[in-house]
Amino acid sequence: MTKILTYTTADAALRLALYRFIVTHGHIPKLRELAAALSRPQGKIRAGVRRLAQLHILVLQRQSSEILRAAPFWAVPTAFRVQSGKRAWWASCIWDALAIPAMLRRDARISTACPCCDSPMELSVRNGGLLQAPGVIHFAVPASRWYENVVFT
Amino acid sequence: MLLFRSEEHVARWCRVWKISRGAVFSLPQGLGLAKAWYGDRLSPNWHPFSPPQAQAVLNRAGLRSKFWRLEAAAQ
Repeated sequence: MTKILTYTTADAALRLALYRFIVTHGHIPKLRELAAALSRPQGKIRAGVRRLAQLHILVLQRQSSEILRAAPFWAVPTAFRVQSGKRAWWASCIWDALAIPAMLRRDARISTACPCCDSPMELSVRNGGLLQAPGVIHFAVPASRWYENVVFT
Repeated sequence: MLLFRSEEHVARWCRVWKISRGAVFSLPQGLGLAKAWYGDRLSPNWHPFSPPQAQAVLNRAGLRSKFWRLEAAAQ
């Protein structure tokens, strides 16, 4: 029988600390980096991060158990770069790229390319709205299958 | 969830990669959905959506067809 996890205050505290790190530093930290930043043993951080993954709040790398996705942020380079002020982050898709300025409530520039013709596409979000809105968003995967393969989705 | 120059480019890409055309919508719609889904993610009071809550966000964005039913999705 699968044990159902409940989102606890400890989960919430670690999640918030992780997100604040990402916003401040412009990248998803390695576990050792997060442990050092929070002055906590790496084993505790690893266990806490694993719980957040079991709660579907994070996605971990299969081999290393490092954090791959803390939505809407992505740990490794992708086709979606989001710049806000002096910081920049990777996002896994256009929805997550738009989510970064939405979440930060800051202006941002999103750089990507059309997957069909490879031509660069630049978006600017200012004061909560889009300055230009070239192009259309395509969702290939139905909502019921989003979490089957989050990398493809 | 990719950004294309036009619906014609979506159709061409789907044909080349043999991927079924999914749902297409505008960037302003996408930004609205991003705000609804992620807007409070930095709040200390944020809590994971339950499946009905997540479905309600999609419904409020006008995404009500079968394509947008979460049903068996994890979150």
